[in-house]
Amino acid sequence: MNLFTAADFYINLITNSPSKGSRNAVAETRIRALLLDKHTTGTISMCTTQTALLEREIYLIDTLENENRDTMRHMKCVVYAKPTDESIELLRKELANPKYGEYQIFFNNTLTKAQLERLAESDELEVVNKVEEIFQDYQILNEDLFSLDLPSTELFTNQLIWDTSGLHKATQGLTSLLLSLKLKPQIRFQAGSRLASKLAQEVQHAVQQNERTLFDFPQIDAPPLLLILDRYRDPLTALLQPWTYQSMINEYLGIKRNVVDLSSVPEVEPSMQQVVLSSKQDPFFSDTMYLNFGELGDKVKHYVSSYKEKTNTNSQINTIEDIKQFIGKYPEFRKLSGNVSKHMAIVGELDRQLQQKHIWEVSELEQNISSDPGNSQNYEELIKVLSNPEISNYFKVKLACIYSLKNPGAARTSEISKLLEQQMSAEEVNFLHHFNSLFQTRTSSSPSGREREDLISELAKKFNQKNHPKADNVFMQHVPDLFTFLNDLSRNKIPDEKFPFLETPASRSPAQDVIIFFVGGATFEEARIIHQFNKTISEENDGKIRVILGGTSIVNTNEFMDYCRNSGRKSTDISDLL
Amino acid sequence: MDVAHQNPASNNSSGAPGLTRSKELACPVCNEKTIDLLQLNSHLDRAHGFAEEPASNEMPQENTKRKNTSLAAKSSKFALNRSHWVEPDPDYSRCHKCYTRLNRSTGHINCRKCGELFCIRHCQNVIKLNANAKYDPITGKWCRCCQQCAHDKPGCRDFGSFRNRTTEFHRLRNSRTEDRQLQLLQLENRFVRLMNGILRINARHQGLMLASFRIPMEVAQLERTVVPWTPDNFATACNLCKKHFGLTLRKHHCRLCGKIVCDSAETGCSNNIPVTNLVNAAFNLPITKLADASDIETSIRVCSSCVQSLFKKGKFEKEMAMPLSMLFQLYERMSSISSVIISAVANLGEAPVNGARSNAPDVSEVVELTKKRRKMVDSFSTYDRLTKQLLKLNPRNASESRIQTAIITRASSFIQENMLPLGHLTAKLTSQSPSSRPSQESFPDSDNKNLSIKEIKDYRTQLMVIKEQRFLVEDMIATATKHRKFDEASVLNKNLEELDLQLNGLTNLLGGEGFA
Repeated sequence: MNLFTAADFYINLITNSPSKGSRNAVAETRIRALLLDKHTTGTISMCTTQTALLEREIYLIDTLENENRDTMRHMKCVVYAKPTDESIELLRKELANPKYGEYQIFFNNTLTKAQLERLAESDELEVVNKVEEIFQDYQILNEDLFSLDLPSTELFTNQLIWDTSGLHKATQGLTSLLLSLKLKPQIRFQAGSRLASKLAQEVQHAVQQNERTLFDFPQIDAPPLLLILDRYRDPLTALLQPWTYQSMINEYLGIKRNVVDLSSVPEVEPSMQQVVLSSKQDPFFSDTMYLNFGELGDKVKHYVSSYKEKTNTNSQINTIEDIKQFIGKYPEFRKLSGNVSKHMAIVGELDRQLQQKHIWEVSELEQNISSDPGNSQNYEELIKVLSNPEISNYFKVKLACIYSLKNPGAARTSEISKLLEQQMSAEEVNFLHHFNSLFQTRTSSSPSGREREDLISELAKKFNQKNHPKADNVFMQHVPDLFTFLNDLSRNKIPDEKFPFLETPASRSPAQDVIIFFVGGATFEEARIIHQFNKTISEENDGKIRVILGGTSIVNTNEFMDYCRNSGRKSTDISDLL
Repeated sequence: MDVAHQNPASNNSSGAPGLTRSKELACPVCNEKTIDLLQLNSHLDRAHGFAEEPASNEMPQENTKRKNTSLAAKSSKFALNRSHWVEPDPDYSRCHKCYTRLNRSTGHINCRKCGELFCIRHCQNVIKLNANAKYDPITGKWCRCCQQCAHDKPGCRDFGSFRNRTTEFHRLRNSRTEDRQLQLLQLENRFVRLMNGILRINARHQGLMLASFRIPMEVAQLERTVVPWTPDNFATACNLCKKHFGLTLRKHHCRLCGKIVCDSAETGCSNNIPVTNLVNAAFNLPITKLADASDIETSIRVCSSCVQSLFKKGKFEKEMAMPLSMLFQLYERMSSISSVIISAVANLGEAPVNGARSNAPDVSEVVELTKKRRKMVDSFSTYDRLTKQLLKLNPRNASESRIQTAIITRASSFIQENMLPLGHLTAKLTSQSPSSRPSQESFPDSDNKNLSIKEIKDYRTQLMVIKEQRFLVEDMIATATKHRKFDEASVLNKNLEELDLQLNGLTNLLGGEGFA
């Protein structure tokens, strides 16, 4: 259950697909073109490199959207597209006036019959010699983390209700993941969440519809498990400032499709404006992505000093032998130097932002509030931070939200909002009330919501002490709810009342392959927990459970606050509820 | 099967405390010594048939087949075949996965499926097995197994489903092809009739006085017979672009399909095309060409859709039949040479083994190595030359120039990857040459500073290597300065100076015997 192996398999399928050989051309070339659409460009770029494609003799990569492509009659063309109506239309145009001599078309999800017919209709010159569906309608971030890259604003008409097209997209993406890993799962969802249960039903329906044609995998003794969770059920994890490398990059710099944009960083070198960070291609990043900022500092220091050592040995070149070695190592050396300066730039910028935004203070308080909500000392500290003019309004509002989330209905909320009103616009303060109503109605609407939450935090605290001896790190006191679930999972005791089955199976069996999917977005902090869980299980428990995490997107605190701001604003339409 | 579960009276009371007191346990039945409880357990099960129901304790020894797993212990009816289990041996048994010696602290357990012995840590997976220890996902019972067996069950390590829809696509395409072919045939027939007619008319009136007057008249008559024209009042908008006709947008008839189209210059719905051009384009149609068809001035109006249907395929096929562009031709040659290089490099990979075996390399080996080396240097220089040619090429369009840069990138990384073995080969040759020198008696040459031919050869090779390296380093400096990596460039510059020093030394040494 490594997502990258599945990706490699698919890339191999696309790029090494044998061609029939041209029908009438005398001359032909081995050089091939790869045509992508805007969706697959992201997917491809995250799991392969241009160098790898060049090795497969793909020397021209272009997009379907680009209409000014030149006619290259002797080239064969590999098309990889998402079966959207838009891409099909573009493909039809391309086939009606082919620019290349021969086409092999791959789609990253299922193609409807109508779409296939339309394509066949426009292939007058009979240039297409292959149409194949592969299943990769999602983006791979880590070997055990995927994202559908669907921002929440497009997915929900209201915080409670799916948008029809959003639901369809999410179902398609999730189904393609199941197909790419060849899983026909039992589905569980978070109790009391409409979003999760609706998606669970849709996925189940999609699986049943294609049971004969696509999901005809051999029956397995321990059926895989798909668990659909709701981001809004654990808002706290998405609100707290993160401290591990990958999640900090997403929080402070933003990482989209493995590209980090450093152009806004002061005094950045021109070559460093946009850097690529991929856990697959960058061994240093894959080593450090789950480390917290303190550990990361040590690693970077070590990395730089080892680099310096290498440069020193290189500067002492006396014999031909040395030169030969140097030249042999030179490409590696150049790559290393680029990588070192890349990570230096990123870590430097992270550190600058942490200082400038007073994150150390803010985060410590956040963590204290979330792990020990009743403490009056925390409240005093909160008042102090709220009156500090150097801290931006964003963090103040967020702190107030966290406080009221952990102390619902407390009289102090009004004091806090009064304090905030003195410093910022009414609109910003209003968000606090909006946030409160959003999550208090949430907890009260579901049966025994409060009680359950207490239970979870209680459990979490317990495991925190038991399994995390180093939890004395003040910045990582909070334990996401996911952790509790993983503990239950490893003991094969997932409570039915919290995570009911969509269809209760006849016999219970321990789950071996588990997909956890967050409606509304997962966080990189949770990805770290999953990674550690997988690592522990494979080291200590003989690898009996394999878990993959996914989300409609990957959120940082900013994005999550935005979702909260936008959700629930529109009035609910009756037809949405039916 | 638990001792406690089976024989609570005798075993549990005597066995468990015994564990803490002495290191050995005696079997309560035959007094055979076992190391620990686990082993005693299996001994009891095996030798004395305790695996059976408690009632049949005295059953004879042939009852070794039945064994419950800890998980399935509750349903005592299930019995697993255990004839394939590896017997634990306290002195030799090791975990099949981590190879630690199995003792009491590691514990030992048989994987129920493959029967190998494991320590407790490496046998934590479960699998459903039937009584014959074969995987059975439906009716089997949960049994303990090792990671290998758990992951080897069908469908567990499987991934990457895909569905080929080519046949469906082709079927759909073919269902339309027949229709389309028929239409095309009709169109072609009309076209041929029209063209032949016009050519004949022209031929008939050639050189006649009234030609310029009679030809258009007869052509107009002919046009009407080829296809019935749609009456003018049937159409209010252009058949292709759907724009409404009016004072500025006039109606026209396509002479091949008879439909009414506009002649707007923007959309190009219809065009007046000279017959000569049409005839030339339709090289694959049976048109009887007359000798001097070149000076025909007649033009006919044809709509764009007819032009498309008539000529698209011909054009496509003609273009396909054209020779490859220079860029592609060069690339094909490059790729054939690169495959030669790759196979040569693979060959070299085997060579060192031979070299290592015989410490004193003989002459033939050196000769062979030199030959190989020369061959490789040749291929590299050909490759390099082709790359340079490709670099100089003027791309025909933007795509070609992109392909060109991509090929150059690939070529440079290819050279970097495969140059290294060549360097090793050279190193090996130079190290071997002293030993082979005595066999080839040197003939000192008076005016060459007493250098033997062999030495000259050696120095020349060295010179060549250094020159090659100098070239590479220069290249690297250029790129480094281009990318503003001055720290790298300065390091490289130092190397360059050293290389130059050696180069000078060698050239002096060689004197007149250097390269011309």
